[in-house]
Amino acid sequence: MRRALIALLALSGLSCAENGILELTVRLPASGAAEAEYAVISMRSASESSFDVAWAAGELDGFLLEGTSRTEQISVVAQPEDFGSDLLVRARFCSTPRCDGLGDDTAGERRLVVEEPFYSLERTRAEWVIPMVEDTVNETADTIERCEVMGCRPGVTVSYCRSDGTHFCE
Amino acid sequence: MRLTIALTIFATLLGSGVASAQRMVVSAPEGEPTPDDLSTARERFAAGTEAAEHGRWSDALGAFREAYQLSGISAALYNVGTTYRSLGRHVEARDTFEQLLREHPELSDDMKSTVEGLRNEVAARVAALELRGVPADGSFELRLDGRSTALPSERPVRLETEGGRHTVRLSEPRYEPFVWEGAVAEGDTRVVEVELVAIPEEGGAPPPSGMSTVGKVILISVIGLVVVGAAVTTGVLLAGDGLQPESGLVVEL
Repeated sequence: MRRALIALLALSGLSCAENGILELTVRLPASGAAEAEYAVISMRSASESSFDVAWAAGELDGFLLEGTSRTEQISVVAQPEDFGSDLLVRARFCSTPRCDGLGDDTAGERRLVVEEPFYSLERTRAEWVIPMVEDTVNETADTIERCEVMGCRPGVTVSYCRSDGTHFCE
Repeated sequence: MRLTIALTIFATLLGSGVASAQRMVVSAPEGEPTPDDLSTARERFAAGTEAAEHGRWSDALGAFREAYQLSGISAALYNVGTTYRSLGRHVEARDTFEQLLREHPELSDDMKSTVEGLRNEVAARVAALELRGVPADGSFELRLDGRSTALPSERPVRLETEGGRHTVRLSEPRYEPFVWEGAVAEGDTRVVEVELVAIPEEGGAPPPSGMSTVGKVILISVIGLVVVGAAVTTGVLLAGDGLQPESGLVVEL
């Protein structure tokens, strides 16, 4: 009986480990600046934040921009409370990796909205191409629509939404 | 340094009179530029130079393009090319340098040599995707990285692009959309085998899919293996702590 109870508790614990991961590929722009220039990327769930407010320092150090564009992959891990919410992403172009240098308070910024990228125990993918270093805050966010979020479709990919509009990860 | 050279040439050309300005079929002014246009072009060129010196390449590009559209002067086109190069947009840089060589025969031998060197350098960095198996007929819509792209008539289809990850989407009413995602290195050509899956028509035979029976069997087997693999993976993950991130760069929401 006791063993059965432990097994039940263990199963209950496992059912809580329902994360969802978005593998976000970011294509960083080239920089020809004489001084170091960093793309500082941070993200929030739309259920808890918005672009209208400033965010605390990001979880990642900024990416040093080089003379040519390059890509980086970031794994964004979400918990069930974030499923069904959009992902908001900010890329700020700063003089230091933590975006805390002189003048970084007015750093240029580009934004991205990924529509509903998280599904229970599913890995999805999206790619964000940042074409240029922004000198000002570009308030018009890029958008990756829900049906453009890749995932849950092995083999020859046809679409990421079914004909009824639901995502294959649903 | 190159910008300084270009600026010097530009000033020289403006100083020698508008007759030196070349007429361009694309993006150059239709006729002789007016003094006002040349004045504005000078300002835009100076703004572009300042932007470039501060690494604001997108601003520099816009300014140099405007300077060329207003004046048609080679130095502005040269700087358009070097700015594309700095932005890592090698296809556009190569095309700009080729246009410069083609439409500006007045360039000095030294300048031609410089431009040819730059053209060859960026051309060597252009990547390409070669799409094999695209039928010659049909009204296909091609999207490269989400952008609608004209489908070339030649087969196999060759798409020039930049090194990095790309997404190709090919759609046609008779087939399920084909999507490929992958990477190609700078200067390389990546072959993409396009496998189209015909949509069965009600009461009629499906159009040719372009795939042999053996190919279909292999495809079905692969899909089956992937499904089984996914199921096994899911089972393993369910027994663990959920999905694991692929990247070393992890953000927990």
